[in-house]
Amino acid sequence: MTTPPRDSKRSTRDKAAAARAAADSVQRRRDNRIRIFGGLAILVVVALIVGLGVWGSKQGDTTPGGIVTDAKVPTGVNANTGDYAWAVPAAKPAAAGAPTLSIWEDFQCPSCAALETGNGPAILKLATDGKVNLVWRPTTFLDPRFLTGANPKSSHRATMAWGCAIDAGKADEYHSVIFAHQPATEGDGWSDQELLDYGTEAGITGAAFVTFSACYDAATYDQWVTNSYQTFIDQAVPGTPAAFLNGTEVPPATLLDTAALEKLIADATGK
Amino acid sequence: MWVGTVLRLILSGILFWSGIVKLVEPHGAREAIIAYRVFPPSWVDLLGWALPAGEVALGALLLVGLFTRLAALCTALLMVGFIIGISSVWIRGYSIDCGCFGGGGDVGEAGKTWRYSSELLRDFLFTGMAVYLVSWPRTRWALDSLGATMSTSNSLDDDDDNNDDDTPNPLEEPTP
Repeated sequence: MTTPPRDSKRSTRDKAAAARAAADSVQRRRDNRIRIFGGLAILVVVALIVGLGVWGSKQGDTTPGGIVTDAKVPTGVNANTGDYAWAVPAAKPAAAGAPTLSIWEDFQCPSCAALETGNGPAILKLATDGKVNLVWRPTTFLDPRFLTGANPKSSHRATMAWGCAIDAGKADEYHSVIFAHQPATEGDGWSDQELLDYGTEAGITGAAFVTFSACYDAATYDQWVTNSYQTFIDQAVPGTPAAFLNGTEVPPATLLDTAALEKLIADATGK
Repeated sequence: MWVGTVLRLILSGILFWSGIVKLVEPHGAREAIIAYRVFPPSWVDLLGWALPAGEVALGALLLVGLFTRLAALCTALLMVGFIIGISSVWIRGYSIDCGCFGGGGDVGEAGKTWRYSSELLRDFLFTGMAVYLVSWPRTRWALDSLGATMSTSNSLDDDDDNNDDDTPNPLEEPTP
């Protein structure tokens, strides 16, 4: 029970400092070990999670099966022809030098319906006036989001029905009718019967309706729709509606503004 | 310390969730990245995997509290990137789904202002949480501080072993 003499206080402090330094170095080594092994463990865990995610996403793969180049296309619709493959020309070819306006749409996309009910007639008029080559490009990228709804694959089925309506000479009419009947809730879609009824509403009657109905029931344009959707993916189209004038994306505000769009088209004419 | 722990675990959960949802639904993630119209199409496939993998990795680091400061810094930068991305599509007039927690591509015009502003507000909040952790990275229940905890308890043991007698350590003597 001796108290350390006063003069030894300094050496005690030195010893304590040395002990602390040693402890520090032990701690540093321990910290490093925790970092290295912890870091490695996390790498393994993350790799496992990513691997599982990749595997899981492959199980529920919703990508289309790829393009079948000799797929049957509706009357007047582009086949496998380069930049505008599988697209639907909206009107007769425009005057020489007129630019090409291509519009990607999904029948279930609310913004597309807004565009069609808003500026759609004006855009179609530009085409029928011969000022622009208008081509519609169908995609069905919204279908994978509504796999469990009342009417699954509505975008795909509506586009197939549109193909049959194009054969009946009612491309513009059927296109407008579907957008006019877009359900208030995105993804609710349309039943087969509704899609056939829209044919009547678009002016397909009598014998033409029988052909239209048979064409739809036989899923005649199934592969054409898939091809167009695959093209949408391959070209990395940034959603819908996406409009391109001679390949350059048209800003959304311009697309919705008749005067601005006319000016853009006029500026691009003859170039 | 406890505030930091809570923030760390919240951020970790958010990153895990957003990363895993994107991994499980890679087409949605890819569509969302394309919809931002920021990256050239050739980058999109790589980013579709790299972004969620990065989110999961940051989430894992924050969960166990390893390299907390670095992970929080990366999280803050990621959030700032999202803020820039969302602002830029908003300014350019596009109406897209941020794809933050899966989904992706375009959505309707309805509620666009509310959607974008709430997404931005949320990302600013997450950025703030990450910045807090960059400033004060020491938190409870973290591997970063595990070494220190072990050393402290060991050195206390050592002290006890050395002082077989009941003499108080002179260094710990209260100075009069």
